[in-house]
Amino acid sequence: MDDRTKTCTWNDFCEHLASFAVDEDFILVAQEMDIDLGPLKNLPEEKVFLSSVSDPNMILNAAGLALNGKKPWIVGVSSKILSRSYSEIRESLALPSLSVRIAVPDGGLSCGEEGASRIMTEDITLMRAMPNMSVAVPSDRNSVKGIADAARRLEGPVYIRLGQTPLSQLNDDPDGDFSFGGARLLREGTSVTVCTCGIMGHQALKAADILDQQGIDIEILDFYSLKPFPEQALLASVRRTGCCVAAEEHSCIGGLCSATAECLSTTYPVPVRFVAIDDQFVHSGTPDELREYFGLTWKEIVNAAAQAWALRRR
Amino acid sequence: MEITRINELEQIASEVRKDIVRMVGVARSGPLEFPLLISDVLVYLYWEEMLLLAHTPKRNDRDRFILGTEDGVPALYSILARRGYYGREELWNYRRLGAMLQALPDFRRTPGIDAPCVTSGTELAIAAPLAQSLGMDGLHTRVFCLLEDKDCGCEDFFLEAARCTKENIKNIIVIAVYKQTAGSQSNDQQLKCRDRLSAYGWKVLEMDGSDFASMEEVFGRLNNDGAEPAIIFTSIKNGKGLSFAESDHVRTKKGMSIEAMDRALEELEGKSNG
Repeated sequence: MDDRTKTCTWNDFCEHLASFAVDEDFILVAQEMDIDLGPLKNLPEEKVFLSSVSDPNMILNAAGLALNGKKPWIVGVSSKILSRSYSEIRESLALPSLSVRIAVPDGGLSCGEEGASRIMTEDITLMRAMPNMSVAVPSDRNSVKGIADAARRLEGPVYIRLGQTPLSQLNDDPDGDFSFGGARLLREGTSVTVCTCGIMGHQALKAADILDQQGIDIEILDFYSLKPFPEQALLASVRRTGCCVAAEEHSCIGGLCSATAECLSTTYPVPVRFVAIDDQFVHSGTPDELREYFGLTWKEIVNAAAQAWALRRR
Repeated sequence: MEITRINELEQIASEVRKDIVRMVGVARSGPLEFPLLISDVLVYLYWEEMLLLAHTPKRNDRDRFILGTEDGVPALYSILARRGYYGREELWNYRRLGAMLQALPDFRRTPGIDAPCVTSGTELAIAAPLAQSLGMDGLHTRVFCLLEDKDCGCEDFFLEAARCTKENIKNIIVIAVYKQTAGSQSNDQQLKCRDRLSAYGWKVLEMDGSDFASMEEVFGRLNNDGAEPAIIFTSIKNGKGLSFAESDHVRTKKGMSIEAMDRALEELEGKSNG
């Protein structure tokens, strides 16, 4: 695909979210000068709640608005929202199950230049482990729209991880059905199930071409909903392939890899291989450099799929 | 306020205090000192000041009450039961598995609870946008937020207080409670807090949280003006003269024995009768 047609999920999200302003209960909660809001900057004044510079206060502000029936969308930097305000999210949003959505523009390694303190590779772990919280990771424009629409309808708190890396469309189905607890089939295959989320779906499609030449026909699933986790979609695929690879731009602890292993180990044990960041902080660098350095490319997926395929029972 | 009404309110507050002692005693855990301190203030708010109907607890034009400290929860539970939101028998299951009255209010399960009680951050950050949002919906409801005065000194509190005046939020009343011990004066932190809030444009008032006439006078002044957000520094006599309120199990929140509970109830009974 032509690079000019690629878009980053954060920009797609801002564009789509702006169309929600017609909802009576819609309100955007943000801090001044925090992130580039794109088209959201043009929202009517009464649809934007500018919070003070305190990150915990921003979360509590959204809770206050939700108590009066509003459906706030919080946008902000992941390291500030999730780590500085974890207990506020837990106590004021998740515990009372208020319908507040949190969207972050800097998920994964997409803001790699900012360094370890800013890059959260454990954000999905934190949000997945929190009761009542739903978690989604879109991977292209269609999934951004579908997930935002699903979050708009959902009761209870939602965490949506977005990124700044330009991405192409994973498939050409603009009306695809997206719902929390669902997964999307990106490629049919019979040899290995490859579970992906976010940017790793794109890498898996590249890996599929190489693996085809080796006689390994992989099936690729995009797990855009990490919580609720679509167990049936995973099991249906693994029952046919007999082995699995999980690939995510996240720590190997607590994200898609863990969810996959938790599901398979208790229900249908098969050989599983992970492509994820080891238990370590990342360095600063360009996103592509970092993905190469931490082993989050199609090459690692090829290796992992070949290993899983070799280990499966005949 | 007529003396007969004051007597009635004092009688209700006395019964509320007995309920607090019973529920914390039966649960064998839970805070006791702070609920006893704030029971008069809550009685005044729920019987004299706030606009509410217990049989329609979700009515949109009701006044809201937000408790900013987990230590005050038993008092709020007891008040809501007395006010008819649920039966008093619920109090005796406080903190039990599956009970409606959990250690922290379950916002979705307990009638009369207007907001979750958070243990971190400033509750003003929940109360202020709620008040702002109600105002934008054209409702003339007020949001009352009760805090301990020590929670009014943090920077997050001041950031939110500044935002209140910037956004012209008028329908918020913060009640900052502090314990008045013999010969004590407002401490430095509280004086700085008062100055800073005055500078932001808040109305800063002082009342005696053990004296219903004082509360009526202060809220009367507020209702006549109501042009800016208000904070009422509320001094309350430590223990209200009750000897058990000074005991170790009260201060350390370790729960009280049945014997200690009986002694406390006897003392409260004696005080209310005489």
